[in-house]
Amino acid sequence: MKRFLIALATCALLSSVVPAFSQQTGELDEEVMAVLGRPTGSKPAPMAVSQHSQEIDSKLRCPVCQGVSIADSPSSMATKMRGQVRDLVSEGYSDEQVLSYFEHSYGEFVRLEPPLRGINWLLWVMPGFLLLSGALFVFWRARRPSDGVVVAEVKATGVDPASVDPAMAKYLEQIRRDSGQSS
Amino acid sequence: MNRGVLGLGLLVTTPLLAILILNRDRRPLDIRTPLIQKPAPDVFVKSLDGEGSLRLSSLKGKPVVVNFWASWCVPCVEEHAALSAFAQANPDVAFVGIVYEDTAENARAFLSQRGRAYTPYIDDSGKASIAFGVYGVPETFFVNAAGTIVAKTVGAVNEQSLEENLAEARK
Repeated sequence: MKRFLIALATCALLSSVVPAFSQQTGELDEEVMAVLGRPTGSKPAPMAVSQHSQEIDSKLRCPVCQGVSIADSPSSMATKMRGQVRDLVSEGYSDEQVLSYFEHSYGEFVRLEPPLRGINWLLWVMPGFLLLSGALFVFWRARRPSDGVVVAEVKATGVDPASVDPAMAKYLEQIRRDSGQSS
Repeated sequence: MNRGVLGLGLLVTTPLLAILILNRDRRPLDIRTPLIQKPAPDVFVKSLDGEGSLRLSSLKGKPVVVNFWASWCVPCVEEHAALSAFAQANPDVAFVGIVYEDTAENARAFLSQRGRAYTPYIDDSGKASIAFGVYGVPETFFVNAAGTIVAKTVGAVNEQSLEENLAEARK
């Protein structure tokens, strides 16, 4: 019951706040329309606006900060950008439309997660590629017989690789000297 | 040296060196804006004096200089004289000063101390700054008579940069 009353009070509070935001958006509606066109969705419920806006806030870079999203920045500009996000969400604009609005004026830099297009593919694919290449390199090195193994093989088999491959003779001699097995 | 390690090192360092060389003439202050050659945002701003407002599209038909500034910004103090003189010398050009991240009182005090050559506006909601993609002040946008942004400067403008960019806006 207590939770229900809190939820009811929150809804009442938000519904009194949202019309004020709508009045503010009247200022730039034409500008927003010129950039985005009509919203692709319908106007969400006040509770959904708040949650949805926060998700978008965390994907937008604060332009006056260093690598911080507008959700995490206490700056005045970030507060105003959060207001703009909220306005657009409450009018029914989709996530992608809201992000596109900011990208239109600030460029792709404003997105904290670069979209999967053009050269950005490299950003997403390269870490995995490098990790895989590193793992393959380590695997390959681990499987390659070491010099110590060669000596052990000579001892075990009695076959001197130098007699098979003359280019290896001086290296084999060096290994023998280093390991105190010089003949 | 192991040829494999050398090859890998070259593979990593060559693109980085290429980026460095290709960008050697780029100025750190040149923040690229995607708005160049795009229609100027049709922003709505209120007059700093509280009476009247402006919708930017109402100025279509003549070149427009949109300058975002604040009283706390040192380069804005430096450029103020040049902007004022240029606005007085070019009555065919509309100058729009928009106060960014500042109080109306401080902005009015700034202007009463240094003079005002054109109507100042204030961006209370931050929506005009967002629409123009402003990172900081001063930033100045040059709009041609068709309403297209043709140039943007970051940092204090001077007579030379105003002349050059305005020539572009007059084309």
